[in-house]
Amino acid sequence: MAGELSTVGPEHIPMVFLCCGCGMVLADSCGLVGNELQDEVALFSAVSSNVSVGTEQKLSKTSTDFGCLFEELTCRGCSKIIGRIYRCTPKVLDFKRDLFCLDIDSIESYVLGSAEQQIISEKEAPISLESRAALQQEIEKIKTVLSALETNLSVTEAKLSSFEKKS
Amino acid sequence: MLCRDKRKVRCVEDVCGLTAVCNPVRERCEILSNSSFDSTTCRGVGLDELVVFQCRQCNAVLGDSLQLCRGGEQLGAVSCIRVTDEVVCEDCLVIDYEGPLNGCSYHVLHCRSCTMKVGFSLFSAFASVAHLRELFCFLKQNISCYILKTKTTVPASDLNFDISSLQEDIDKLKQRLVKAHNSMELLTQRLEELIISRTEAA
Repeated sequence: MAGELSTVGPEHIPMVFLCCGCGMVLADSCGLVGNELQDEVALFSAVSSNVSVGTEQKLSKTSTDFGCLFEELTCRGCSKIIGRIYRCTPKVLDFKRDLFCLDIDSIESYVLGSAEQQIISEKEAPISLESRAALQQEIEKIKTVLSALETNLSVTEAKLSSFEKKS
Repeated sequence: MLCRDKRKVRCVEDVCGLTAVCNPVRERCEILSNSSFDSTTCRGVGLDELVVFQCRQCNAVLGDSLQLCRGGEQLGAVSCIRVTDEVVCEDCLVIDYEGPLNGCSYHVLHCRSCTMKVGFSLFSAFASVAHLRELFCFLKQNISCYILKTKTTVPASDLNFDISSLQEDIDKLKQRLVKAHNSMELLTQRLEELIISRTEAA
């Protein structure tokens, strides 16, 4: 089962996970550790403050996670049970321990930047936070190149001055 | 064995066949902090600036801060270039005769799920707000925001969406470029003079 655990790379897509019942944001891609396909759960190291962790610990008797001790996770918005957090696990399920396991069926996702409805034409559109960030990166690159150019210029200037003095 | 933290637990058989272990020590809510993504940026935007805009009444996702642009703050609004399909832009135009939009005409934006008014899209406007025309402006009091950095949902009115201008940065860069260009010109001139004097001496 651990082999099916897919992890998120360093360049992750910003994404939020919402409760199917009430739409509250339960978690986001920053806390996403991976997903476990067999049990259809997404694993998170951190969830939002809209998730409530149950006060009582329960012992699982189902075949897939027999003997595990877990707490139920509920949505603060609609009180729907949305997953579990395993506290005690057998060796094969250690990868799930102390992680927030949200049932894929209980969550919906939204990828930041995926909104498409637009009135203003691309040509006229002002700078957005995203395009501003890209622009800022370009400015930083130009600054670096310019700094190198300025250093070269002053070195050349110094060399020329000493050459002029000699002659 | 059952409890790693050596806390005293009490087992109760419940109707579902699950054994409930009551633990009065445990806090009701537990939010684990995740510092590994603190310095990460998404599409060049800092994690602390990533926000999802939701309808305050039904939580429908309306947009996010990647599409945010400057200028909405003066009207108590959050202006975005692009929004999700959950936002319905009404065809008819409304003209206000009072308030900050006095004299301006705009399309009302409402939430597809709960039909609540969430904002406006200016059609005609005075010079002071003309730059907001054809953008989607969400009324701060009608939307809530999920902040990825803090993992909390807060009313939009608690946040400030002022984006600083890059104009100053660009101006400074321009000055440095002009200076470098002038230095290069001067250097070329000196070099040419040197070549001429050398040729004459030879």
